[in-house]
Amino acid sequence: MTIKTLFKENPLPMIVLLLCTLLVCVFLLLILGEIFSKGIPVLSWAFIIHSPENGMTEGGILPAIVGTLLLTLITTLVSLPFGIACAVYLSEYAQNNITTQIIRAAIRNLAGVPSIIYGLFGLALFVEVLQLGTSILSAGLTLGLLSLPYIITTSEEAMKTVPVSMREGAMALGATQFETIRDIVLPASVPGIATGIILSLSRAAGETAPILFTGSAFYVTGLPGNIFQEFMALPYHLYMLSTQHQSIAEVRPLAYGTATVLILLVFMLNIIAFLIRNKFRNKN
Amino acid sequence: MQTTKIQTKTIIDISDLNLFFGEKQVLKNIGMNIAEKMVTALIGPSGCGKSTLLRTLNRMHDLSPDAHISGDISIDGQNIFHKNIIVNNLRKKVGMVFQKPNPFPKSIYDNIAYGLQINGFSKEKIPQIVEESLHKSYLFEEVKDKLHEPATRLSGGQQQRLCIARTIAVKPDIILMDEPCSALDPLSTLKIEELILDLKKDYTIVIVTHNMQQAVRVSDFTAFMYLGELVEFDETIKIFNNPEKQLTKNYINGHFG
Repeated sequence: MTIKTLFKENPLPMIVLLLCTLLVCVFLLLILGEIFSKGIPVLSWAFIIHSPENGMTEGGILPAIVGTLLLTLITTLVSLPFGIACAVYLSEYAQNNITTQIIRAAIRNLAGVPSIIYGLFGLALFVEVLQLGTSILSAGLTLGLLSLPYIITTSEEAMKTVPVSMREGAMALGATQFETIRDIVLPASVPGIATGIILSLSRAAGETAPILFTGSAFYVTGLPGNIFQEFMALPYHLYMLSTQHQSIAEVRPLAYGTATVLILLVFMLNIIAFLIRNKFRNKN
Repeated sequence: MQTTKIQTKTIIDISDLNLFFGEKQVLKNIGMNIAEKMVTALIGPSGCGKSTLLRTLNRMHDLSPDAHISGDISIDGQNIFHKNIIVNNLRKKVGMVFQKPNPFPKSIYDNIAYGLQINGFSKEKIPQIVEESLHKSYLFEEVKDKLHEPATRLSGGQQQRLCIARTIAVKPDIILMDEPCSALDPLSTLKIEELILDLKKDYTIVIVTHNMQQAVRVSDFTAFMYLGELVEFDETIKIFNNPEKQLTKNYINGHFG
């Protein structure tokens, strides 16, 4: 049956559902339109490569860009190996018993924990107990924890889509279970895993609450030199420019510019995810 | 009709084999000797346990936690369930070709080279063995110009011959085939059957098939199974011309199945 005949038979559900979908799109477009229309005029090469000046009423946002990139790098280094290891265990090794079910339930619940709780947890564990101080490292570890549940879940899903026949084929040739996972299952699930990782990283890059107590600073002179320093980050810079600055009206354009840069960075991550997916799909 | 006994040497010795999936008994008291460098066909209606029997021979059931096996299977005089047996070495010796072609998402060349790499064949020999295996599976002429293209671009029949090539590359003694032609067109089926008759010179082949004509065309021995039991096992000529059991006669005459 074509969509046309479906529509003729009973037009109401389709119209209602279409309107709901359009409404969602309208809000998204409104947000993007608002930010880009006010942010893009502010964007310039100088805005990207200069530090804030004159009590942050002028200049650029370079330290915040570098801070967010470094932070995302540390988040990746933390969450990627642990996330994939955990997903491999759950997908390939775990028996379907009560322990595994508890582990899965715990991971699902972790994904639902509010990000401010992660922030306070990071403050207690990394900053205080482990004495890492308010630093890029503490904030990166906190965001790593926040991203783990998503990375585990999406990676496990990706591995589950590799057909059993493929695993059996490798084992029938004398491959051990580990060799089968390393040579067949993981390569075949790279597109799914990469997409999941990048999407959760792009979400982590935009988080404010978890880095609020663990390392992000209002203003730091110069670029971060090592990972044990406090740092500026785009989402926190945006929060601060919009609510905490003494002359909010004056810095409003800078806030829009910052929002635009943050959104563009996240878009770039998403485009990379899309390219990786396509590359692997064409290869096979 | 009088048949002369074929002179054979036993390579696989199955005795008192029982297999349960959970509570359900799928194989009942199977005992049979499979002859070296012969083709043995397992026939019977769906659900009779023929694929299950085949998969016990390379211990594929190790992957399903609810499978319980009792009894003995010896290959070359070695009990394959003995705790000293390393299952990966067993599977190198007892290769398997599956019902649906399952090439790896790799190039044609790497599909064959993979088994060689994990089984420790020396790097210098791999290209030569890959080529030999492709020749033996009658695939070389068709793929020689695209060895580094993805195997998934081949036709179904070519993929299945590639799976056979990758199996024989690691030099097994025995090849298990689980309805290898059921997903293929008649022409591809014919090619695989020719290949089986050719491979018989060097390998022991056990093939599960739904197609009785296929059993007649390729096999020396046939085992007829029904509801988890081995009803009759004899030379193929005997089974199809002069079976002892009424059940076998009914099945090969197409009265059920």
